[in-house]
Amino acid sequence: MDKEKAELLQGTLDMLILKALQLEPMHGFGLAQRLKQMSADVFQVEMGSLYPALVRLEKQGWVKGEWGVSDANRRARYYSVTASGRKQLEEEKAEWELLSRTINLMLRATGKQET
Amino acid sequence: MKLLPRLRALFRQEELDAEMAEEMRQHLELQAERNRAAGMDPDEARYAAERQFGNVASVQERVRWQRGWTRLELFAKEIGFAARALRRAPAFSLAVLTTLALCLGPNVAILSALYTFVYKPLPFPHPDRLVSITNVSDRLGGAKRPSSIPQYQDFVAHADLFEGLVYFSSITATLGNVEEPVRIFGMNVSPNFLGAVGIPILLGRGFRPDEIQPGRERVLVLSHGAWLARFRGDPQVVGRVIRLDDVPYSIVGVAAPSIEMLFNDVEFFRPRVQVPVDLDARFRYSASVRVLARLKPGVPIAMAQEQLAILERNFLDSVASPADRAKIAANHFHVDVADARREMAAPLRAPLWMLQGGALLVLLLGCVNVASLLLARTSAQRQELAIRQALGAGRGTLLRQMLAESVLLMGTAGVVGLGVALAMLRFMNAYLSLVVRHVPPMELETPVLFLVLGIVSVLVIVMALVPFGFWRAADLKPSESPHASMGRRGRRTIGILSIGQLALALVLLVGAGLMLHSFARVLAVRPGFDAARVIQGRIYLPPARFASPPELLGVQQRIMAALGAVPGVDAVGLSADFPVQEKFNTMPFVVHDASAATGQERAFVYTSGVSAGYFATMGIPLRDGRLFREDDDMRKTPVAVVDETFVRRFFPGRNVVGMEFAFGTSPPSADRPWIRIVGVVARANLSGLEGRDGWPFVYLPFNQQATTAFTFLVRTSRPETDIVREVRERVRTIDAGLPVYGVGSLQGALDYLLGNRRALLVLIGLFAGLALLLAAVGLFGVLNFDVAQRTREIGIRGALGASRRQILSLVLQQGLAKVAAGLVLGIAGAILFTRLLSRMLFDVSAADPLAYGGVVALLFVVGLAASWLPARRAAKVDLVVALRAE
Repeated sequence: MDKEKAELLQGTLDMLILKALQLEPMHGFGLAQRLKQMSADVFQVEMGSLYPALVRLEKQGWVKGEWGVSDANRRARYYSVTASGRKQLEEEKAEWELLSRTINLMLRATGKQET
Repeated sequence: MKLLPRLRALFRQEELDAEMAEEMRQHLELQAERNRAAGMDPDEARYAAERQFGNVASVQERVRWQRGWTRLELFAKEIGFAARALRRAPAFSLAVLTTLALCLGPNVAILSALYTFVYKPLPFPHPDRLVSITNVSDRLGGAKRPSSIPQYQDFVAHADLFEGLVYFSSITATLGNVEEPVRIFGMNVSPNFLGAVGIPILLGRGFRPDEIQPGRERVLVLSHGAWLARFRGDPQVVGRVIRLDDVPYSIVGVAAPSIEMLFNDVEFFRPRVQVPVDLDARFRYSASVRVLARLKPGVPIAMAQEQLAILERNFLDSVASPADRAKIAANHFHVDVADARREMAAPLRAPLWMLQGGALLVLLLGCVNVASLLLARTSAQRQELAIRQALGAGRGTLLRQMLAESVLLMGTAGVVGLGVALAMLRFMNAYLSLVVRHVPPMELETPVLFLVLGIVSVLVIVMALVPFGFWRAADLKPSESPHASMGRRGRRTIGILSIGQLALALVLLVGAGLMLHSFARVLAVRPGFDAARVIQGRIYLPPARFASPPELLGVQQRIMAALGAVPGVDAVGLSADFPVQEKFNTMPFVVHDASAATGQERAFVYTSGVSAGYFATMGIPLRDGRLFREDDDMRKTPVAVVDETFVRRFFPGRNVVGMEFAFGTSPPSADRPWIRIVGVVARANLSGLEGRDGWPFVYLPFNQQATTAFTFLVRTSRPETDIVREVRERVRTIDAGLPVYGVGSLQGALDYLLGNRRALLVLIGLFAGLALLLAAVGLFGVLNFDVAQRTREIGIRGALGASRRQILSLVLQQGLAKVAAGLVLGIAGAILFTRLLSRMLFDVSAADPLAYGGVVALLFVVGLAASWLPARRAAKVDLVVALRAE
């Protein structure tokens, strides 16, 4: 993927991670599986994108990482959404909806002036 | 919130890395488990998990990059690596540090001097608009003379391109209220001086316009330094009364520190009291005050000068008398407007830049040495570099590494160099305070520090590019033996650099040699008077108490008699001015007998008012005619005594006794008689040993001039301190309020006049010595390195039958060949550059064979010594060791 596309996806990935984590706090492996499942197998996120994204979200304070114990008694790092993360998700959702609505509108343009 | 986690991350790198590693390990475990559950066997599950994850190290790198400090971390790692590498090569690091610090130090010191004395802006508002207005007489050699009150008032009235015209004059006064009367410096100023120049008032007020009227001028503003030193910063000082020249003055204000930069020891400002001649327009060129002014914004200096020229023309056309007009025209006066800062800095600019040139040359030499050292070290590291290159280190990585080393080395050298500069500045300040008045002490100022930072940055880049360039030019192979030599091109470059160093050192050494020879010639000049046994001192007679000429003469006679009575004093004389000083009163003259023209385009003489006993006291013998008698006082015809140079230069072979002359450029008016020459004395170099070829002296009788301050001279063989004590006591018995100051021996005065030359010699000698040391070390290093590189070759030569002596002479020849090449190049350069020095040489030509010969011999010997050790080392090479297989 070339750089331009990667950047657009970076912001979108952050938003999708926030959405997934909002449903349930998860560790990295679980998050990857959940994203795959939520997108009906379309998005298979690379670890080289996922983990840096988690660090990014942590730096912004939208996500908090804590060591915990998984089922099967394993030590794992669980990530959960913070209050400001929830707010950020709402903002980004609104922005995305506006963006996609506008783009869809423009793609449907026929050249005739619509009243 | 965003910065805090980042900062925390900076300090917990290792911990975070460990956590991340574990997290990813767990991830892989979970993935492997999932795979096993899907039916793969354990090993397959493991491999599949790793494949699905991706490159763990790569992912970890990306996470670290996200954390955000990676670039900084990388560079810090490079610096750490460089520091360890440098620690492992202590000789190299120390050599580079010492060389550069010793070369940077003098540069920073002289840059500071240049800044303080020449380029630092004056501490007044809009300093670029401040100008100095003088009268220049082309006939008197372009000398700048001060202005006068009538001229100033003309400017104020009509020169509308200026705003804020002020005048001032420097004065000394006796401060009363203390046990020992002391002379202090101050300024007589126009009432608007402080405000127009822009000197803020800390306490009290400035002057009012009416305070130049006689009777109202008894007010003072203290300078900041005087306020702190003499009044201990007393906030209640306004209103106090102090006695200056026995007259009470009231302190009305204290100024903020800013005049100190121009006149460091000014202690007070006083309104210059108006005298009747100030209002007489005819006294326009009486040269009594210095004028400063501010140009209106946007007015160029040339335009302002034009305007003043018009005012001068108006004066000549309408106000000046025909006689004045003729005199002024004869002297070719014109008004000069010049930037005030440049005027103050003018005498220092050239010598300081010359010194800076010398310092830069030394720095260049040092850099060449350091570059050679770097090349040698890089060559020694060639195997390591080749391996790194083979392992994938790109250009950028290796350049970063070399930059890191360079930053460490140059940075440390810069810091140490600053320390050297500070020490040098302290030394220079101490010396300057003894030699020159009115100069502020030098410090390391911010602009100079920025400049140094710039220089160090340039050095960092250059010294990183040297090894980098070598690496790019060389063809590195990892399999190459680490003992392989650098290759001919590298060695030749280093060799050429060494020759260049020797040439530069020679140029500096020739300069120093010429200065040294000149100094010796100056010292060889006979003073013409007995400087060693004459002690001088100055006495001031306050006009308030000694107003009329008879009173002045009376007390002078009493003082002379009292001094003569001191045991051990052989003779006493008086002089109106300081007997030995750099500049005497210089006057043109005309001769009564028209046929006895001087035959000279410019005929000037120094004048000095002396008593009858002066010549005997000073030990100046009479050659013709007679000396002054005590009765040559003001009632009789004015007389004068001239020296041999007067006769030799203006009337060779003629008898001048009985000749009449007058000062000025035209015959005197009827009420001023001609002066008759009554005697000729031997030449005394009163303007210093260097003034041997200066103007002749014309001595006038002390009694025919009334002065308020005069110098007494005593000839004695007793030690100075004893005599001085007794003299002070005797003067005190005559009158307790008479300050005795400026006491010292005439030999001291002569030495003082040599101060500039001595300082220049020391500095040039220092640079030349440093240059020689650097060049010698450079030559030694090059040859040593060469021998080390050619160890195997020497071994082979030895095995083929060369004797130790032949090997020794091989290396010696190499060294001497470089010295010879350096000598040739250096002599050519010296001939070119010493032309710049010719103004400062005395009795020595710029192609002085003694200086050149001495320097060539010195360089030859030093070159031989520098070549000897490596030659011996080559001769002692153990053939077996040299030929040992890798």
